[in-house]
Amino acid sequence: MSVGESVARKDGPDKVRGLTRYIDDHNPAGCWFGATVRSAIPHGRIKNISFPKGTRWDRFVMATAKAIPGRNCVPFLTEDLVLLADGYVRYVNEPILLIAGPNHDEVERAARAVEIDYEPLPAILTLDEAIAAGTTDGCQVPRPLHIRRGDIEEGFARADTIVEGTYRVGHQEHVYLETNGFIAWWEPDGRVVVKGSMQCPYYVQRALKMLFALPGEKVEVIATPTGGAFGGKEDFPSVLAGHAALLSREVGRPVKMVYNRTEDFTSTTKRHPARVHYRTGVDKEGTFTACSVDFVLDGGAFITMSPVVLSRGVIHASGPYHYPAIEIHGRCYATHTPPNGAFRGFGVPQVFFGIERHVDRIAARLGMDPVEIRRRNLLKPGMRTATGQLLRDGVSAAEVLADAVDRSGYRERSKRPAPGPGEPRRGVGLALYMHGAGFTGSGEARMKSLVGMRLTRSGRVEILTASTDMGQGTRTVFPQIAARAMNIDVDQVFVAEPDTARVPDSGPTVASRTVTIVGRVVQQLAETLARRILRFVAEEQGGGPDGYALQGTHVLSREHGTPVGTLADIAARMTEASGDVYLEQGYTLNPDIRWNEETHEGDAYPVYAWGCTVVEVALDPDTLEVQTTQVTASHDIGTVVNPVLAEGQVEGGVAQSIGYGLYEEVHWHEGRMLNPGFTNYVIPTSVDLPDIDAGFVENPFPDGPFGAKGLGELPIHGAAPAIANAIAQATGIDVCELPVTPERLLAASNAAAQGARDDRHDPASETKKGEAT
Amino acid sequence: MIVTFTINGRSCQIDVPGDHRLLDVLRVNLGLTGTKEGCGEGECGACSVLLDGQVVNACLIPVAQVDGAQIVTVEGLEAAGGGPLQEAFVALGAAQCGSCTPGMLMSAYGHFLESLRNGDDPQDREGIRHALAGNLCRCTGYQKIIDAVSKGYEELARMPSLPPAAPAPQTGHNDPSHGGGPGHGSLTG
Amino acid sequence: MARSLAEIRFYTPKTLEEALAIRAAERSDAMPMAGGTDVMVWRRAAPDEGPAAYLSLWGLRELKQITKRQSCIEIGATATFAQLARSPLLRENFPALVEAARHVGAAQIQNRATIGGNVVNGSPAGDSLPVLAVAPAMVVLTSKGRGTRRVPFGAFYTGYRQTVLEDDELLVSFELPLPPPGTWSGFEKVGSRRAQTISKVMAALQARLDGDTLHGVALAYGSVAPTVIRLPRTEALLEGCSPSERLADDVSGTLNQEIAPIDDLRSTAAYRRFAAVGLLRRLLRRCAAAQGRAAA
Repeated sequence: MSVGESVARKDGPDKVRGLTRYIDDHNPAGCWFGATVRSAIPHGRIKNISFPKGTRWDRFVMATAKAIPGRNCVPFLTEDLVLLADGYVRYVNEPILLIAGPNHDEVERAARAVEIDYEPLPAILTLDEAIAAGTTDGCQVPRPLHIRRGDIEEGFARADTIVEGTYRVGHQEHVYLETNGFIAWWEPDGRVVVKGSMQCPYYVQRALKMLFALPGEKVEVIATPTGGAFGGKEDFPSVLAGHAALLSREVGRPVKMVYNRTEDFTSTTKRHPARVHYRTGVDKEGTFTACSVDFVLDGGAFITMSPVVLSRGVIHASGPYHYPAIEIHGRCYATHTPPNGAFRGFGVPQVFFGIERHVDRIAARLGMDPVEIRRRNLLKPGMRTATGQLLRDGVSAAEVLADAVDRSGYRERSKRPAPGPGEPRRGVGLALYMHGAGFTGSGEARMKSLVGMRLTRSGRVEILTASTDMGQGTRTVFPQIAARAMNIDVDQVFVAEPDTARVPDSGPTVASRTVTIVGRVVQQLAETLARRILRFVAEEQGGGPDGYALQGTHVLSREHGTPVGTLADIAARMTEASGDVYLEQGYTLNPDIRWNEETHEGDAYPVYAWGCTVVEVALDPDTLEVQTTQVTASHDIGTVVNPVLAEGQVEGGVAQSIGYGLYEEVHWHEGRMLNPGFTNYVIPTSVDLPDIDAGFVENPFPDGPFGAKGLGELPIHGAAPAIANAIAQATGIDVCELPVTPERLLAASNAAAQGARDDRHDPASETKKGEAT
Repeated sequence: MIVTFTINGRSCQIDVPGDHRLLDVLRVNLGLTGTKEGCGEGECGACSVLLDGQVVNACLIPVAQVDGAQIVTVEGLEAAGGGPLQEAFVALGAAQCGSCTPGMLMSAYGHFLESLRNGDDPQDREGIRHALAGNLCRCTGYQKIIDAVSKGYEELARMPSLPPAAPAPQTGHNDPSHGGGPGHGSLTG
Repeated sequence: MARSLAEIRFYTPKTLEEALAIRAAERSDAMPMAGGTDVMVWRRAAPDEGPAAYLSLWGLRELKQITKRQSCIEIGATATFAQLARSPLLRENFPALVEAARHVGAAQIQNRATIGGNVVNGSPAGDSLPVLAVAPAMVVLTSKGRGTRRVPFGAFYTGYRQTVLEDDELLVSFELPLPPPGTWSGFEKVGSRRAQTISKVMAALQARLDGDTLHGVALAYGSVAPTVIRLPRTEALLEGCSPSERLADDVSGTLNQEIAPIDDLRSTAAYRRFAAVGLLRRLLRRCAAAQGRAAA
């Protein structure tokens, strides 16, 4: 029974002894170092690249776009992203030239010495500028998306009150503690091998195939233990792997490229800035009658992942609520800023800040309790989502709401007495949310995630998958699932190093899909392998396979309850008799799932996971500093495979969301990030976070492994909007932008005070405001 | 310049430019890659090591300044007596991606030694939070780390005496009214 | 990392005399360094603009002492913030300095960063500066050729990151006059989070409580001007008043005339002005509470 147990993570002992070897811990003999010369301007043409005296340029090897043997393209959903700018730059720090040499510091110095002349062109640098301009020169955008259900006009006509609001969020940096890094080399047989920190070995392989015009078998990608990713190592590693491989091809030696923190901050992807506008009709009882959503993203200079970020955001923009009529419009604009990319939540944290803040504002307008208005409108089994998906079982919005409200003491906390002078003002806020696990619509049917499983000669079970472990625990939970399916000890099972030369393509390690999708295949393979072992034993020992059972490290005779052999002995004989015992299987999507990509109608996800986070904050009246003093989270992720690891995911997601809500902000000047370091890009430390009460409601998903849904992204949705709601409750300030810094609170409070003063001079304003609702 | 110091209980002599970072000397010259670089500017604590019993960021130490010093890295933590912390980190899920883990462990052990020297209670949860404030973690929300540190301290407290490889710090403290803990201010650089 | 092109010289003198001789010979070619928590960051940030040599003061035991003299506490320039935070002498006489020391970075930084380094760096965000300004400290500078001179802390800075320190001199210690009985001092800081943070605004207050009124008021702010500043007009308004949080709001107009904060990466001028009053409110509230305790 290893599913449901907190098996200690298998890579833990090495990690606490400093023995785990991340990419920067590898130094192959004869390895050179690579550095990147980047654009100094946001938009323009490259007139000239020069190499001034004072540097021994003959000691270095360089590569520009001209050196790329295949296409100068890193393919994602579209094929617009270039590996190296070729005469034309679209954002500050776009890579232009690569340089390699035997000494790291000297290569960096040489890269700084390269001079580039530009012909600057007008640049679009913010989402507001892009919206105003409509288009951005030199950049493409994904197609807009629209969802429509029900009669919108009728819904708004029926409403007693209409509440509108615009909500804004900026960039968020992933801040994985291990920066991006790769080592690349070319084998004498013409194969390129890259190893590094990543989520998606087969994405990297695909990019290298296109860049070097090579077939898959000539491209080997090895994922080293990955020191945090959060989506930041979904797309970008394909670029860095391409750079390292190109330099290595030019140099004829292994080339290592590991970014320092500054370069990682300035030059890799971030969460998309967004603006989302909600217009909601609600009747006197607080039931929603209609909703119109306008969701706008800043994609940066290239499309990369933006179409699916937009799509996921649009699908989740209705929140965990039911509307008789709803329309959702999503657009993505381009700016001359670094491409924005995958980040835990993938377009959804942006809309949940909007919807969950908006629902609280509606409640305030109606004088309703925030819990009650949610309870009244939340999705229940038998209802349809905005995409028209009929929700059957596994809908836990009501359960997680009740659980989080109860355990947090939300009711008592929202009725605190007013603080004395100098005492912090306390507020409590909540957010309710869901997240669809796996790829959208029929994505998993197209992906067909292949997983391999081998019974080794020594009787151990090896799981072969491209799913990487970036800290979330793949290497531990897959063995738990297989061990449970086979009824063997979890120590008998291990996960192979993700190496495309050895492991099949189980898809990228993204979209909260690892356990619920890939894990499902692991379960099925393990069941098949167990049957095969028992059949072999039956053939050897007589009787039918049903007469035997696996247990721990042995095969037992069911009749006598006694061991008939160890797995090790049996595996050795099986291998002897029939060679390598290896199985491979793909994922089969439930055939009932129907999805129309064009209209965004149908079953967007096989299943949703549900969550509610309650946050209490204390606001210092002297400085407007906000401290999170209590967090209670309730999540339905189906069956919890490993409680300690699952709590770890929740606690980490909550922490990242608190960062998003209170601290994290990218500052820009003329397209350049001004705060590319931990001094001024502020994430929470151990004294900024409270203890987090992470509870689970288990509502099993029949198509998941032993009932498991997806978990990774879900917990990042709640804390930020809950904090905004808590601050609004404590202060009366109408918080509509993240992060809620003291500076922003002061500005909002001054603006509100100014508004009140203006109102006093304008006797008509009350009526006008009344009409505006 | 020639720099001589003790690393994880073993004497070591190397010839490197004096301004080179202790972090690079550990990782590149000595192959001790357990100490991680997270930022290179003393903000994240991933490169935390014990220098004469005090936690410091190896990225901010010019190697010339460790001449004659005793250094403990994560590779030597178990031998230095920090094993119970390592076990607790594994058992309680305090390590996720593992990048902050070595530095976090060194800070935790440094705080324990500091508390012993000052006669403070290492178990105070707020005290643990403050002791770890110089170590950024992006995976855990710190909670499981704090739990594991607390459990590790419990185990450490059961041990009969201060671990042998836990030297006192070099403070040069000369505050006449200072009570001081065990071994205060006895080492020179 | 392999060796740099031109090797940078690194001096590790063991005595102050040795250090002063090197300083006199190298002048501005050798950058003095104590715990390295600022210098090593600059070295990384601007690798092409570093000095030809470093002069390490870390090994000078004689500069690490915290000592009680006849009429002052002498703090050696390379005493670390960890030392300051634990010093019973400072806890007794300058609790504000202990508070400031605890606000510097986190454990790793406090174990290396020195009070002399903090002051010579000259950043208006240096955590110890407002406390030294209200003490008020005397800065002791020494050179090989010209001996020792004492500069009042208020005259040490001549502009943004500009000091009177000559290129043959080293800052060796601070002398903080022993405060008269009944003196209260406090330090407050607001940063972007609760630890390991650079100040947006900080303030230190030192005053003698005579009955329930403030006397000899000294008030200093950091991060609100090119250098740390004293607020003489606000101090004059506070003189003779009874400490209360309302008092902060009463003097806020003058306070805001005396500070000149700017918008930058870490905050806005408007917020700094708001928080500057808030920090004074906190200080006066704490001072009033201390006075209440003393009276009880």
